[in-house]
Amino acid sequence: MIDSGSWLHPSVILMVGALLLPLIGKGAAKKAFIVLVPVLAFIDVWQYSPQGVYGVIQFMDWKLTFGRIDKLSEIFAYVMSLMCIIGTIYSLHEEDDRQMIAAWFYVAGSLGVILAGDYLVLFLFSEIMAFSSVFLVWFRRSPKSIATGFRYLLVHTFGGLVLLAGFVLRYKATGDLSFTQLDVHNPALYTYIIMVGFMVNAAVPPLHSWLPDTYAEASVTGAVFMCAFTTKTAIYTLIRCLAGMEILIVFGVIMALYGVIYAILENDCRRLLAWSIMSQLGYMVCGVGIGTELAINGACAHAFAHILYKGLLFMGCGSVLYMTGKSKFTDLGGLYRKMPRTLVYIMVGALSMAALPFFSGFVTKSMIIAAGFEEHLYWVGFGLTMASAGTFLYVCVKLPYLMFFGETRASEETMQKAADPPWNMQLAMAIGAFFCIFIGSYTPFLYNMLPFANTFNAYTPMHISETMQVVAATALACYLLRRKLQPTAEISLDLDWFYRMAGRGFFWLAKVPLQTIDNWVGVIYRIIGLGPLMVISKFWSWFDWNAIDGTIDGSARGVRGAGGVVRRSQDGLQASIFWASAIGGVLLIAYVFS
Amino acid sequence: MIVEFLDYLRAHLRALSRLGIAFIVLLLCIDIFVIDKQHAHTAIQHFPGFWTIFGFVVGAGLIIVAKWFGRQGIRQKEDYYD
Repeated sequence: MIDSGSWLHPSVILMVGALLLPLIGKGAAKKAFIVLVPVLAFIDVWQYSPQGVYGVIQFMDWKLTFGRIDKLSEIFAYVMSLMCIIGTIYSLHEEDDRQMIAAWFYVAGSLGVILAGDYLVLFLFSEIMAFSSVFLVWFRRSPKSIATGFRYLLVHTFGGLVLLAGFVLRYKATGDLSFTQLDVHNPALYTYIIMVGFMVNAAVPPLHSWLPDTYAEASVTGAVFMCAFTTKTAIYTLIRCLAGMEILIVFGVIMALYGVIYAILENDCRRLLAWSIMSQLGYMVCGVGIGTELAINGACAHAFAHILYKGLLFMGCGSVLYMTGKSKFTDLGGLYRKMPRTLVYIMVGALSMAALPFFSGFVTKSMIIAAGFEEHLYWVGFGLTMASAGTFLYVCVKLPYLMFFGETRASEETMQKAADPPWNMQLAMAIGAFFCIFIGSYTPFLYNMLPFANTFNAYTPMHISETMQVVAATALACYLLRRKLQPTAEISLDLDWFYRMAGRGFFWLAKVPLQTIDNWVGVIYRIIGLGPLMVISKFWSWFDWNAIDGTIDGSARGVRGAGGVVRRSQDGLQASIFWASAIGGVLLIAYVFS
Repeated sequence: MIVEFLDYLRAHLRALSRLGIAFIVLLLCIDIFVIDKQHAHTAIQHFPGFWTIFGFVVGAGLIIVAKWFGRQGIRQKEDYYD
């Protein structure tokens, strides 16, 4: 690829900003600096990144491409840097710099993946993303979040290794590291391996359990960042290299409905939103699988809208958690008098997600459903419409009703603490809400950014009528079955049961049988080994001292002195061995790639 | 202002539910008499009020299926993993 000239990578702005942050003083200047950094990154993406290829660097045998800007990467970079501003404003009250630093490195990682032109750069940035985002979980500082963070790290390390295996195999087969569309009609083994690597990040079942596990345990501000970047970056990578991979259609529809079922059962509001992310990702994965121009446009548009409305919903539920310290429906209810503005923002996000007219989801989700119908995949069209009805059910009825209306299950103390959150959180929610309504009401804003020229019109009488009928009838069904929607203080088991139990099994194995064997060996050694050994050594010691040293005076002491010298030199030797093996490892990798 | 509005709505729940029913009927009428279904993709979409029936069946079905699914050992006590 040819370099199109000088260009500043937006991730550099965020990383430099993150590193400078601890050096900036306190007060208003610091707040201004915190807002300025993501704004600069956004302006860089928006104004100073024309289409082309930038940042091409020769590294050993490969040309690494840090900046490939085309219609597809542009729209994702745009919405991600926009969400970074919103998330940063939402976190402005945080006193701990480290949280902001982790968040900016995380966004920098996502932008790096979006703009990467080859697998090596992509891998580098996706590892930055995984390792910085885990701190957003740990900064909640509860024992649960520590464990969750480690599980998250393990799952993403696994995903990263699978991706690495996939693109190394591809490199061996084709000699190509460039990150471009794969041949999905004649998939090789590496095509599937790369797909699985991306599926982990996109939370496609059965590799999805990390998502509800993590997002519900992350810190209030951390979750706002996390919900936007990892999974949508994965959607971008799927669009980039696996558009038209038909098996993804099946995964997508399963995902959309799986998320709905779990969201209906869920008792924790942020975990409910995490399930809904999975469900909404199902639409996008499905769009990638269909792979037509309309479907790809739909997947991009829905990812764009999704980042903003899901961010808004996480900010809303985060506000409730921040103010009351509660996130479970069994501890909430009847909050509308205390947090009316938060309720309004949550409703804007909910109506956007449920795809009602004039809200963002309406103009984006329908593109994917229409693409399914146009390809005569009727089960996809109806399956996704079912998921839409379910979405309305849990996000527009269940979530606001159980948090803000109905009889309150909140304690007196919770009720007293409840109030609309600080101004910066409200401002961030207002910006998010503005974009949700703006995208839904003024369609050219989003449609003109899409990778393919758009011919789809969401505002046909038939589409509006269909949507309103489904929504109204679902609301009626909810009303009649409202007793079944009452929350219960329980958790839902999911596929993470297997690895959590496997981990526990390993722990048990180490603790019970292995430790028992170890104890026995110790006992046996003491009885059989140690006693005779002591006798023998005493004899040799006597023999050495009296017989040998008596004969060759001082030689034993001489040997001891020499032993000390050898020991010291061995320390040095070990260091040399370490360096030799490290260099050997690098050379081996270089040899494999050469 | 928001609170007063919501209090007003809560004070008139009965009227609100009647309004909701009227809205569903209105949507049905529009679907049957007004909407041009020439571009519908499947024959079943031409059935009068198809999406209302679809929405009701799916909405009720999802709640019932989810609850049934939860009873199959999926819902556990909160300290299950501790």
